[in-house]
Amino acid sequence: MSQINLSEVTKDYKIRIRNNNRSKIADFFRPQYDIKRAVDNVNFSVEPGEMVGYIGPNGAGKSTTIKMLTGILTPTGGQVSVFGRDPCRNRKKNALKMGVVFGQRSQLLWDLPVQDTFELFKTMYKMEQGIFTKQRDRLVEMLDMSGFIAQAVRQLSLGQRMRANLALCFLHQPEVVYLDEPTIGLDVLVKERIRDFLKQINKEQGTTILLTTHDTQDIEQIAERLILIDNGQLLFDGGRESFHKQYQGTEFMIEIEFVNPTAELVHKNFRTHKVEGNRHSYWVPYSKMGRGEAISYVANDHPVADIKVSELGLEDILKNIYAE
Amino acid sequence: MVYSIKLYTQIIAKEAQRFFTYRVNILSGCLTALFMLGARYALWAALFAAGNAGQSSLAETMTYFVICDIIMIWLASSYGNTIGEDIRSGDIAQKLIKPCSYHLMLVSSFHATSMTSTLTRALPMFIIAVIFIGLLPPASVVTLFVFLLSVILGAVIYSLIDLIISYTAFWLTDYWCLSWFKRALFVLFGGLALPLWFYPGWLYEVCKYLPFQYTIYTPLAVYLGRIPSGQVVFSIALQLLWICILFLLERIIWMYAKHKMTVQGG
Repeated sequence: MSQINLSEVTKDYKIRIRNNNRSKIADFFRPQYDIKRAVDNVNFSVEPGEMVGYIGPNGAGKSTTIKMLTGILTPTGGQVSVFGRDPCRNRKKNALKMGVVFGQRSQLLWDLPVQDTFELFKTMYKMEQGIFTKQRDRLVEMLDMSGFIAQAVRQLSLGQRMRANLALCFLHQPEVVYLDEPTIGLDVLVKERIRDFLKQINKEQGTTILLTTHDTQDIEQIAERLILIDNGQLLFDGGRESFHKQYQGTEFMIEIEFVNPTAELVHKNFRTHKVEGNRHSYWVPYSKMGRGEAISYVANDHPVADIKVSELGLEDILKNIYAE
Repeated sequence: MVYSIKLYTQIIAKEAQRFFTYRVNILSGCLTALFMLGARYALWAALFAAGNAGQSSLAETMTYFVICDIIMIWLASSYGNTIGEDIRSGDIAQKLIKPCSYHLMLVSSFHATSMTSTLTRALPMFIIAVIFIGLLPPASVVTLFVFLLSVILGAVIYSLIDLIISYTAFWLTDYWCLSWFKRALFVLFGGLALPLWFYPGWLYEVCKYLPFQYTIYTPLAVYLGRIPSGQVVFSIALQLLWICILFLLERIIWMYAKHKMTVQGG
C-alpha cells in the first residue's frame, strides 16, 4: 500500500459570475454560477521516502491537490488516501504524522519569540520533553537558527521566518511533508540552505516530501521524481531524467567559433541554423548523432576556438509546456 | 481530555504573554471601560432626575449595566470575527491541518482574551462602580449561585448562536455584514441596550420566544430578583432547552459547512 494514493480525483469549484449585462438586482437575488474544474481525474501514488516535485503553472491545481491530501478539502470525485486512510475523515489522526508549509503563510505566533511557538507545538503534537528538546536543538542547528530563536517573530526577516516555519513543520518528525512553494521570495543562500536541509532530513529520516515550486533549481536539486500538472490534468509522472528525455525535443544545437572564416559544413546529420563568417550553428538530431560525436567531427577537420552544445534546460522545457 | 486541557492552558498562557507585551493595550482598555461607565452613569442619572425612568431605580439600572458589561466580556465571543477573518484570509487552512480541533483553538484564544480583559477592564470598572456609584448586592447567597449558573448557561447559548451565524461565512465568504446583524439581534432582543422591563408589553412578549434574552437578560434578572423565586427554576430550564436546540442546530450546520468548505486562494 502506497503512503499517498490518489485515484481518479476530481475537484470542482463553484465560481460566481458577475455578468455586466444583467442588472445588479437580478444578480443579487439570482446569482449565476460557473463550475471550474481545478483538478481533473488525477491519478498518482507516492511511496515512503520519495522526494517528489509537483510542478505546473499558477492555477494548475497544485495547491488544491495539497489541500485535498491534508484533508481540508473534500474531492468532488475519486478517492484520496494518505497512510491508507481518507484524509478528510481522519484529519486529526493524520495531522500527527504530517507536516505542511504553505510558503506564503506563517504558523508562527507573531508577537512572541520563535521558541514559544515551538513550545506550543510540543503540546499540540503530544511530544515528550526529551524528544522535543533533542529534535528542536537539532533543527535549530541544521537551519542555523540559534541567532534568532529568542527574537520576536515580527522582527525576523522573511528568510528567518521561512526557516523557522520549516523547522516547526519537521519538529514532530512527520512521515509525510507537503511544502507549497517553500523557497518563494528567498535569497540564493537561504534557498541553498533549505535545499540541503530537505535532502539531509529525507536521507536520515526517510521523510516523504512532496513539494510544489516554481524554482527550477529546487526541482533539479531536490526532486528525484516529477509530477507535472496543467489545467488540472496530469501531464507527466516519472523520474527527472525521463522528464528531460521526453520534453527536451529531438534536436540539440551545436555552436562553433572557428579560428578562421570557414565554409558551411556539409554533413548528413547537420541542419544549418546560422552561418556568419567564423561563427556557425547547426541543429543535430539526438537519434542520429551523440553530442561527443558531433563535437569531435567538427574539431577534427578545422581549428576551433570555442564549441558550445545547448540543450533545453528545465526552465526552457517548462516555459514551452506552460505556453502551450 | 488531558491533552485538551494542556493545550487549552498553553494557548491561554501564550495569548496572555502576547497581550502583556503591549502595555498601551492595557491602559487604553482600562480607560475605555471607565469612560463608558461614566457616560452611562451621566445618561441614567439625567433620565432618573427627569423622572422618566419608570419602575426602576438608578442603583438597579446601574447595577444591571455594570454586571452586564462584565458578563459581556466573557459572552461576546469573537468566534464569528475569528472564523470570518480566517476564511477571508485563507488562514483557516493552517488551523485545520493541526491535530487538535478548530473549536478548541477558538475557545482557548477567546478565553485568553476574556481573562486579560477581566483584569484590565472589568476589574477597574467594578471597583470604581462599587466605590463611587454603589451597586446592589445579590438578594442572597443562593441567588448568587443561581445567577452564576445562569451566566454560564447564557454564555453557552451566546456562543452557539454566534457560531451558527459565523458558519454562514463559509457560504458568503465575507463576515462583516453578519457580525453587525448579530450584534443588532442581541441589542434588540437580548437586553444589551436596555433592561427588557423598560420594553412595551408586546416587544417583551416577542423577546420571550427568542433565544437572545436567555444569554444576558435572564442571568441579570435573576441577580436583581426581577424573576420571582418560584419561576427561577423555570427560567433555568428554558435556558437548558435552548442549549439543546441550538447545539443540535450548530452540529448540523457545522457538518454542512465543513463539507462545503472552499479555502480561498486555491
